[in-house]
Amino acid sequence: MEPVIGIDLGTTNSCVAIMKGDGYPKVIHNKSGSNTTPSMVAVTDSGKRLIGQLAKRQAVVNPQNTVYAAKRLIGRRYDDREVQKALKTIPYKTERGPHDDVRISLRNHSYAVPEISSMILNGLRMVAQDYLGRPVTKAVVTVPAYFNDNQRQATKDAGKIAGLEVLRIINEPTAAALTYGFSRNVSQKVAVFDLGGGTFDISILEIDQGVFNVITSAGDTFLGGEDFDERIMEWLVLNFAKECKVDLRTDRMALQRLKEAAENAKIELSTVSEVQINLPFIYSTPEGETLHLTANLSRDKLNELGADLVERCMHICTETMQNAGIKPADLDDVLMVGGMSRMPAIRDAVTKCFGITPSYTVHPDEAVALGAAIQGWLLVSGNTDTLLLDVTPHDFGILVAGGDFNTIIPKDTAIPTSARKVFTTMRDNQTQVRIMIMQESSNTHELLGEFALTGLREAPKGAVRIEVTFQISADGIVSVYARDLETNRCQSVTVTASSGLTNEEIQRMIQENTDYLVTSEATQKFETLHVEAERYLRQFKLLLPKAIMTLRSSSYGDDALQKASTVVSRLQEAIKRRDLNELENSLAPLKRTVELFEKLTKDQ
Amino acid sequence: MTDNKAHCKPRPLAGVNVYALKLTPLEGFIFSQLDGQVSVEQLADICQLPEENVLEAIDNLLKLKAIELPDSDMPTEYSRPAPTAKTEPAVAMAPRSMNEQPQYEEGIYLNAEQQREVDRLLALGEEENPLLILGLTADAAFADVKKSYFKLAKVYHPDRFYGRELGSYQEKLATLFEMINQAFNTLSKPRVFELWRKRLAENPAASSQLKKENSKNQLIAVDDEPPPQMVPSPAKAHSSARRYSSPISQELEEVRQNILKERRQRQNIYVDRLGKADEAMQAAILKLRDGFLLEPCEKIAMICTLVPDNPFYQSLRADFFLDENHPSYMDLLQVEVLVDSGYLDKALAGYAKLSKEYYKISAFHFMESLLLYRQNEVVKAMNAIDKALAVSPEQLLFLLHASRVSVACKNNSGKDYFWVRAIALAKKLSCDISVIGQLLVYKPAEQQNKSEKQAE
Ligand SMILES: Nc1ncnc2c1ncn2[C@@H]1O[C@H](COP(=O)(O)OP(=O)(O)OP(=O)(O)O)[C@@H](O)[C@H]1O
Ligand SMILES: [Mg+2]
Repeated sequence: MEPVIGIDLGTTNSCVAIMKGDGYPKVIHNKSGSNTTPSMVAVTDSGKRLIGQLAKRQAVVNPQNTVYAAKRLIGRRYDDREVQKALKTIPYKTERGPHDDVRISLRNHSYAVPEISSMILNGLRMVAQDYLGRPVTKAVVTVPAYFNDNQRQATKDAGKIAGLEVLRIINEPTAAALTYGFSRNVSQKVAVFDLGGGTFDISILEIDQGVFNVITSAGDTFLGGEDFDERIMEWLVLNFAKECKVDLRTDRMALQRLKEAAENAKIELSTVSEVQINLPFIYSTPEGETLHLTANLSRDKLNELGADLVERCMHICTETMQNAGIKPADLDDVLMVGGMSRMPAIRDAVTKCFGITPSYTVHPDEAVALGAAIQGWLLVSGNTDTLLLDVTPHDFGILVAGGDFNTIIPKDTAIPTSARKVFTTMRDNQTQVRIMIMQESSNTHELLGEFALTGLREAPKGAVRIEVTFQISADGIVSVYARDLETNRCQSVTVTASSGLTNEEIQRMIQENTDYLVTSEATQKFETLHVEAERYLRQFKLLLPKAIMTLRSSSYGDDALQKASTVVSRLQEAIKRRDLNELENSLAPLKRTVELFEKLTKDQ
Repeated sequence: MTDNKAHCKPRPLAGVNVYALKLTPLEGFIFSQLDGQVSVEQLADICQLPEENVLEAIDNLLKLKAIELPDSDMPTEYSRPAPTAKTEPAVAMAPRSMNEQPQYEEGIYLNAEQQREVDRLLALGEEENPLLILGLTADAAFADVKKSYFKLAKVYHPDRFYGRELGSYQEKLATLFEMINQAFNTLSKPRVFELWRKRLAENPAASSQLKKENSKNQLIAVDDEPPPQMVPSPAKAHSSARRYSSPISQELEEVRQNILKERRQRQNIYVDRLGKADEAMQAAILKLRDGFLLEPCEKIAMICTLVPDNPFYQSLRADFFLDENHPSYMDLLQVEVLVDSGYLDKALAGYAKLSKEYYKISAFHFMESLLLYRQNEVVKAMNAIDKALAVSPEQLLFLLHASRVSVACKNNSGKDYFWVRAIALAKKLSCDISVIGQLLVYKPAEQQNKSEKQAE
């Protein structure tokens, strides 16, 4: 059976897992030995792509070309309030894409956000391949439960670009619950509280007889650890501005350092009550004076800075429970997932809100990837004991007369599902209707896409009947069809066409990605051979004087020396031209020459 | 807002990017209705809104440069685009016909009996009482809805057929599961359920038919052997469901629970014993108390804090990797408890055993070495760390420790050797200024050692 990996594509950290032969899922650690890989991508001046820890390490020196938190931008429109807000603090360059999407410009090349994510996916795929010792082409990828249709589709595209077949997109909290309940014969009602780097999700599930049934899901796709980091950054910048009359935000490198320091301080404050933040040489004034930043941040201050963020999480929790008619007492457990769930203020707030001490039964950083791996295995193994049943977190519908939103599929409907409603014209002789597809979440409406159904029969108003069908796949992706019930003329869209990538674009990106991988493999091979060649060249030079002495006295000496010097110059030429073939071809003769020299000088 | 305006027919400007505009739903709707043919007056009618509101929205759209008001003397053909939609929720859904003649295909994942069952359920159609779709009778209780739904979902959820050859049943199964979902969604409110149940009770014809169908349903579960290509049939699903709750698996579950319980207990002991440790430790203990399952690497880091003068060990703990499911995990915990309780000799024996049994896990050698170093058994400590390095030569922490042990062994060249390798490794691993910085902090201490030695 071909392996299916589970990938938690996080805002800050990503994680990959696989189902082992013994029926337990396992996280695969990366080359540097850690179980999670930073979701960062960088392009170096030689055009090389750095992923994960490597990208993170060089972020300070290469801030313009290092992308972090791409998940905050994926599947969003350039003009979204959230995007505009995020653009204020990110040090890399962005621009408006051809579909009003966000593009990221690195070293004069413009990348779509799914392309960036695909690089991370690719990195994780490599981690899995190294571990398994075989190619991996199939994956289950997780997204926040509250991700909308565009964001899901864009994530799927990222998988495609990375050359992965994404068997299924599943929701992060659901995945965590699967890890919690898998192979444990429990019958429980649990809430999953997932606060990660960029997103917040709350899901309530019941687990019974191996069925994981999601009752309700809610969240905020722009609320997470990054926001806390930003609050700390703002505070640092403000204090620094007061003290030194300098706005650090104008300096990309300073921004990057501030961000790192802010995150570290936040993490430390989960265990200690006060930290000192030290950023020497943070800024040099035009007069050449160097400025240093030092600040003391206490846990209380941090709690104060992020109080409203915590409040927002809790508000969503209470509201969700109310709407779903669930009381805290109904819950057997509250699972804490995501790095931010370690923050004491969050923990206290959850305890207060749910009236139970939250549990850390599952690993906050790994549970999601493990769940994805389990789901991947469930899909291909023919297992019949365990089943995930998820719901849609939003209301879907269209706009009708009076600008009203007409719900076709309500929130918390079990998916996959489809629903139909029949609509009609409102004016005499109306020959066209425009279907505006909307998504409603926490009382705001968002236009997902629109299309027109044309060529309707000219008739008095109310006579023509138009059937609108919404369909939501098991991945949570929405398609809409409109059909004229008289002529059977049909129009349909998979809603994302309005802001996602076109098929051609995706094909091009797949090509570019494979091209890059092929070239980088060749480069790597060249580098290895190059190192080897240099070693032999050094040895050659070392042995040469002695060898000349010996060879001079022999009859074939001149000939041999002549040949040796041709080989060496051929090799040097190959290195200069970076010609892999030639290098390979001339390395073997050089090796033989060196061997010969060694023998000669030893004999002597 | 003039009378004049009420009569004009605004139309969208070419090339407007609707998404870029900040529109309220009302403005968005009005915008979608403007085609150069509808006047503002008519629009007010369409929207069933006061004219002022519409005018206000129009004004706003004008301000946003989304629409224009055409000159009244422009030729009318100019604004000929087809009249736009007016929509209104209609009365009822159109029923979908489901009475296709069954045609079975060769080589698909469902056997004939299963195919018939799918067809039967589909033939019920969505207009049918949802109780029937879920296979419920008129005396069903509300709790049965969920039970029955789960049972059906386990059989018909698309996950069950992922990537299987299904032929024409591909679509049928998709429709069927959507139907089941709809039935469940409908019945998941107690009052709605009661309504449908009563209706079913009032219609005995449907009930009797249901009984007949039910017996058919059971037939499926114990049906004759499926054709060879068909992997697990519902019949198999049932048997494995039974196995799921067999005594053996229960026993296994108990064992697992016991191990977990034991692990927790040991952790508690661990916490108690460590109660008096320094502040850095307190942090880790906090985590333990809160029920975190500490990773072995974190434990190592904690042990590291027991060894003086190593401020950066904690930050490097991520360099370690040990699997919690590894058999050594329990032993390791045990040994750690020994360390904490001051039974250092026993702990040492424990580490030695671990190192021997899992000789490939360099961390055990490393820990052994740390403990030996603490007990001033420097030569033995050197041996142990050598073993660790033989397995993991690229471990920063090991190299640093080796360097320190070398100092203690008064082996100056060893000290430098490891020290240089550590620096080189740190540089290679990263341009991470902070790690190198911390190394540099560490170095003066080493030099201090050296000068002390010279003083001797
Ligand atoms: N001990 C800690 N205390 C406080 N915050 C922490 C701690 N550890 C990690 N974090 C924060 O948690 C966040 C990362 O969490 P996680 O890795 O779960 O997110 P993610 O999966 O990448 O993001 P998302 O799920 O939102 O897409 C970061 O903001 C990080 O600073
Ligand atoms: Mg996450």
